[in-house]
Amino acid sequence: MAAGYDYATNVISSEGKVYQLEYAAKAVESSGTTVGVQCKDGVILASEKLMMSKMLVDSTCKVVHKVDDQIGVAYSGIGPDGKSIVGLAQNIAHKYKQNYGERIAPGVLAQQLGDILYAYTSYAAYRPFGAHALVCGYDEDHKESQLYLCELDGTVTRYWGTAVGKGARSARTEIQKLKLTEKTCAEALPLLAKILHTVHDPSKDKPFVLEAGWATDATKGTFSRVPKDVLAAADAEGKAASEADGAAHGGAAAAAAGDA
Amino acid sequence: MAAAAMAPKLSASSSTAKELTTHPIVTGSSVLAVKFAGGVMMASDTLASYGSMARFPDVQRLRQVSDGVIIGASGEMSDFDFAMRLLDELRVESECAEDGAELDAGEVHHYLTRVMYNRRNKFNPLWNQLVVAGTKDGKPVLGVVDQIGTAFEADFTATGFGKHMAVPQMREHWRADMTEGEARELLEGCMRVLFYRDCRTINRMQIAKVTATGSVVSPAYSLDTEWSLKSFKKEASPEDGSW
Amino acid sequence: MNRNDYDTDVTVFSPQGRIFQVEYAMEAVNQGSACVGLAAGEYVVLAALKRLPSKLATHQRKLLPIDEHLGVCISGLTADARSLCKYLRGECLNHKYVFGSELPVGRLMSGLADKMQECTQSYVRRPYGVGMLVAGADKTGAHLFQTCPSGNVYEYKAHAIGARAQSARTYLEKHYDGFAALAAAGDKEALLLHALRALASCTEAEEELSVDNASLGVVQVGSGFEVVDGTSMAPLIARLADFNPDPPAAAAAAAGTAADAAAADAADEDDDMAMA
Repeated sequence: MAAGYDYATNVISSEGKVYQLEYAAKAVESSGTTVGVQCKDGVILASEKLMMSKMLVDSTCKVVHKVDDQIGVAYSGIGPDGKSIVGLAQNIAHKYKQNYGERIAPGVLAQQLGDILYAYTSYAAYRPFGAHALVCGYDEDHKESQLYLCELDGTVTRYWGTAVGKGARSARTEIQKLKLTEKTCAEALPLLAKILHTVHDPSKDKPFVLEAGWATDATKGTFSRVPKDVLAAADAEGKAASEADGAAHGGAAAAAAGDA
Repeated sequence: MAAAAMAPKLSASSSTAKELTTHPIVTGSSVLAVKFAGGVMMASDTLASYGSMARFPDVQRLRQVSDGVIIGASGEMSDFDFAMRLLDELRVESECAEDGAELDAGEVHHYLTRVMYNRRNKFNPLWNQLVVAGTKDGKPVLGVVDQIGTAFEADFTATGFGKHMAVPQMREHWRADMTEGEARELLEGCMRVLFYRDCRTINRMQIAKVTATGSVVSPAYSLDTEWSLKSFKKEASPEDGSW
Repeated sequence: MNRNDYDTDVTVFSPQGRIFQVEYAMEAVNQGSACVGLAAGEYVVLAALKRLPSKLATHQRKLLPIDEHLGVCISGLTADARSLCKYLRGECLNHKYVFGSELPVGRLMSGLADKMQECTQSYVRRPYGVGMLVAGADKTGAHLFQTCPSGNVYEYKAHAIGARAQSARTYLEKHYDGFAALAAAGDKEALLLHALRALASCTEAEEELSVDNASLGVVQVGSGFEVVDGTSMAPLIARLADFNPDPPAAAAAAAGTAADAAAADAADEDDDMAMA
């Protein structure tokens, strides 16, 4: 198929593909699912953080990160690459504040982040990042919360709701059904937890820890980790709902996880 | 030509020399602070002077760095803003790390010590006397650092004119086991004297305190003053005033 | 090792989205001698098996102090480890210079992770061929971290890396629940003995733990990192044979699984001078 045209990012195959980008995206498709949605009163990122050992401390290897007062970034893909992207996002926010004396808008940050991700796809000396990033936050000019997806090839798109990672496809389908723009973040969180539990297949996947962060009217646009008790309640509710569905549809959960 | 024959004028402001801050422009006067049983209390007025003009009457010179740390500043207000911006960057960095390892007052004071001394060694100082108050391991901390990097910790301290006018009162009245009320009374007493004596102050002050449970900076308020005191009258002189 | 077409550059993804150069670097960690770490309450304990490159040589150092509150235990390429240690020490000193306090361990690990990740993304570099267990105490408590050549950094309750480490991991999982009580009681010695016992399951067939080939490190919140080896370890080695990990029934079960794991992990390497 690729016949030698798939070894480098600076080579295009005769079909017009940069194969290295597609291979990098494969790394994302085998990692935990991350969902992001914009709701009536804010924006949420939630992630299925796969734990490779039961001896790991729950809080380790965070995938949902705060990068500035009002902005959060979550990723799916190769862990260290994702962490590095978070560092880049923090730098962008920091520099913007130094230069302009005000906080960066999430859309501006997402675009600048995309520019860097893009740069890594166009030099022979580097490889692309093996992770997609979701950027969310409060835009002070437009007085609204926003969600962006920065893909590893540099594409930046604003979404009302999207998902990346192993269960992305079925998670996206579920998100579309929910009409989350008409719900509050507090109402949406258990529904997102349910989606993550549904795309998770305990028989094949490592156990996971639910991580979530939000910027809502209640947090005054500040991005913060969802409080432990709220998250635990949403996690339990989502899990129960997912199991009830699974029982009703005779293993639909496993099928949903399988389609990725 | 005669002008060309003249010796070149040598001064710090000639075009070949780089002139950095040699004096402050918009300044705040004294900051006072004392430890009391279980915390630290700080006071300052809200004036920023432009030279001898009382130019900005509503400038907060006591500011909260975090729940456990407050800072008061004398000297150049723009430099103070800059220092606070540095600390805000540290706050964001710390909040993004989400590890609960926030800087305590001891660390903030140490950090400012390094910043101030480093800038002084570049001959480009931040022209301030900064007072850092807070707690470290549950114990009160009160630290000072100035524009040449002189730094120390103390039980009570004052900057600016207060170094001359307030410290003697503090020496006389301060005790380690002071209550919060006594500390406040001491600081207000010192502020009142400073208002009488310091030409770069106004009667509009704030007070701030830090204890193990957190910090508060009060809204601005005025002190009662008494101008009919005998020492304010200089009978022999044609003018009023004691100076 | 299977050769394939996508495994010679760190900048090339395989069609499955893997980076083989990173995976090979991870293998260097498995070739190193074992390191064991456990965190309990205010303590973190490290234990390491030292190799003797030659009968005329001393044992290679495995435990390296970084700062007063921090020490690491290395497995893999020693030279890479020394270079990383230099970085870690620099960061700790820098923090102490700027803030007058000890650098929170998690922050240090985050910086290290980013540094190691960079090497996995550029053609002009190679991944570090070393894994570390990092034990440190700061104002947020005592922490045990594992670092990988991939740039991953994990915080563990208890973990082991290096050759035949699986048996130590099994031991630790078996006994971990008892560690908290020992830590609460301040029984540092028992924690050290547990670490040694876990380490003992990683030795080669004929090898026994001794004051020469083992070393221990312990850090406690408020009292710094301390290396326990040589003569100061002798009483612990002497007690090791009689040490009965509680409860006795669980201990017997652990010993059984440990032996199985050791057998399964039999594929072995001879003395590679570069490997610690």
